[in-house]
Amino acid sequence: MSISTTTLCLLIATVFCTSVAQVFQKRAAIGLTGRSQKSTRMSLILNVDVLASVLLLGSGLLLWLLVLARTEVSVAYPLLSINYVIVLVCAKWILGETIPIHRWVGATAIVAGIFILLSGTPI
Amino acid sequence: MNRSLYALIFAVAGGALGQLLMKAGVQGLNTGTVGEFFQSIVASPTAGLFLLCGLSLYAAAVPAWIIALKRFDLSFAYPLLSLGYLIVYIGAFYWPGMEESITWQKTIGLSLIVVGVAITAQTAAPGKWTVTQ
Repeated sequence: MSISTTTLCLLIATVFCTSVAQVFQKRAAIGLTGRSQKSTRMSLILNVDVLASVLLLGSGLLLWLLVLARTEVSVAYPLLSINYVIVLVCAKWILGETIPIHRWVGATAIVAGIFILLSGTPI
Repeated sequence: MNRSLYALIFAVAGGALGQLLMKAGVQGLNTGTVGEFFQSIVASPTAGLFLLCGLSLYAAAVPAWIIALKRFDLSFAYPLLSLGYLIVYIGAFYWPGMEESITWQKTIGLSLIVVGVAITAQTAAPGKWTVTQ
């Protein structure tokens, strides 16, 4: 692969932060069901899940800026789609969800796409 | 329904545009050490501005995404989010000063990812998929 070790480590750290942030985003979305429009806006600002998500995204973004300075954005941004695969694996092995086989097919396509992106451009 | 659709479009486009702005902010900066990196941000007249705009737009996309998820299934929302990759791909090509390449390798890799996301995000409705694991 034509990616430096440092950049790869920064990328992995970024993905970790954004993955966990998405978990909190989902928690926030679940907590909002059944609310009226007006109470949604206020509760979003004070919501703990939203704040945690924003904090994690802040850390992730800091790391991400370092990655961005070292890579092309059209290559780096799609690499974040590894999140989908991570969430899928966590759902299966940590939450014990039953995964329909088409999800593994999709995950394979994502990983293949990431591999092709990483191996091509010198970054 | 309309407001949620606007929220979804804003989340996707805002995320992509935010990334392009952030890249515009950090390109050409010193990435030797973290300290040098932040020093070069302060030293550049435009870096801070682009970064601020990009970060603000990206941060605004987060609550928009959550609002959109209230109404839309992930099986619909996620594939649209991955279209943001295409916006960035084309935007980075045309962005003055950035001019990132359009290559077959990138196109194939990106297409695989977009298709992969679309497939992964689909729900397992009864009768739709018969094999489970």
